[in-house]
Amino acid sequence: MTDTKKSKLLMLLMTTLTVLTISYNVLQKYVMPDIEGYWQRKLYYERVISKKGLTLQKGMYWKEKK
Amino acid sequence: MKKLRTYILVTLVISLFAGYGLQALMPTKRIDERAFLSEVAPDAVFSEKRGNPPHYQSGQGIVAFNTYDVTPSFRGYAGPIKLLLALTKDGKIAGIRLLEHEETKNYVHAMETPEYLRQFLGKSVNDPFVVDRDIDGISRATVSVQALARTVKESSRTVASNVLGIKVREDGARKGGGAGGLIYLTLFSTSFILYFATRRSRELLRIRDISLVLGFFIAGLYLSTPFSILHIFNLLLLRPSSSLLWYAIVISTVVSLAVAGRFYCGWLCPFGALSEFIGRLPFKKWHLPVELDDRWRRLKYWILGFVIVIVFVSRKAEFGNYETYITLFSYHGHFLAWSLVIVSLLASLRIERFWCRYLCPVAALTGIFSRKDSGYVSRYDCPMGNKPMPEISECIRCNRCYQGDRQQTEEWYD
Repeated sequence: MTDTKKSKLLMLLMTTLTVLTISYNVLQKYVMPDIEGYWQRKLYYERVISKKGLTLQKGMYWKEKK
Repeated sequence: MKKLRTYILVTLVISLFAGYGLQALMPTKRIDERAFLSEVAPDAVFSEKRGNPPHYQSGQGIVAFNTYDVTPSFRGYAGPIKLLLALTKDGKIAGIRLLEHEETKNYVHAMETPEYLRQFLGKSVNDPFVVDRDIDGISRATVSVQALARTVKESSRTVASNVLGIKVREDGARKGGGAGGLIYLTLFSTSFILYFATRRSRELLRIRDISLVLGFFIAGLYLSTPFSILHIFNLLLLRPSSSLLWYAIVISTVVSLAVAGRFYCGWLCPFGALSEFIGRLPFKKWHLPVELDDRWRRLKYWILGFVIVIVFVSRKAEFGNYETYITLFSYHGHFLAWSLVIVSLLASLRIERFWCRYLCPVAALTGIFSRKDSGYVSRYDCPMGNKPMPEISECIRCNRCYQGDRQQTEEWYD
């Protein structure tokens, strides 16, 4: 492999890492908590609410009432 | 270069206006303090916020307040550190919660933990609150921890005196970061003198290595605060620091930029020093075509522009934190940030100062404002691998090739 080709691969890796690092900074603030919250609600629905034959919204409503 | 300078400046101005515009148009998301009252005093039922200074009061005599309402002028490294504090009626801290801050996460992650904040519980408002005496210090976050301790001390004493009627000690405000600032200024002045000395005499060129080693140990390992793009972002977002070190770093870099271009990169940057020393190891360097190298060097400006848009539109400086030296010298970062550090350093074995050449945002920022000097003509052992007669934005002023006013290049190229 030539030096140019190796350099191109290295540059591609570094640019990707840089863009991913910047994206991660933004995503961890906004998107990741949303995804985490979604999975928490989904798991709660599957473990508890769906067994009572309720939809997620109804279940959350009755949970809050209780 | 003119086009890149225009691109960066136009992007900066548009993003700043867009950020301020969005802030004015959209309602600011305020922290709901009441939601956290149960965390600082679980069994208490609080009144509405009232009084001067503003506070919440419970039937048991517990008083809770946002420290920013009491001491808004106290700042950490990048703005105020806002806390929710609860005081008992005899002036002891019953609860503490960190609400908001703008400090760089890499440095203050330990300060945010409940384990660290727990040391304040039970302390009296008349305790000294001195870091490394009755408050644990955190290495590489000294300024932030001092600001936190000072905020807790002064705000709780004000509330204890004005709301609870407790007689409090008045031992004056202590300002942190003074010693660090003086150490950095001494380092900067020494290196600056050496820089001018090496311009006059080639025999002295080796002393640049001493400056790089000092930069690595003092600015990198000891002070842990290399000049960063976040300094400039916080300045433009009007979040000045209360730390002398912060001002010492920003002002000295701006002064050196006006007088000697990218002097900071070539003489003081701890990551640049490390990359350069790694690059001197006996590994064969990869040969790159000049056109390709030129094209890639522009990448750092495009990335800086991209980051400027993200930071100023969102008004969150920490979104722009992708700098390898912050991760390395704060000893903290996520997997991607550490990967960037490791690959950058390894890449320096094959391509001189890889990070500085192609990706560093400080290199891009200082590059576009570099002062022209036709005495820098480059030569075969240029630490940046510059071609003959390079763009001044790529020159880190190592002075190896410095020709003064002469334009002769006969002995300088391979």
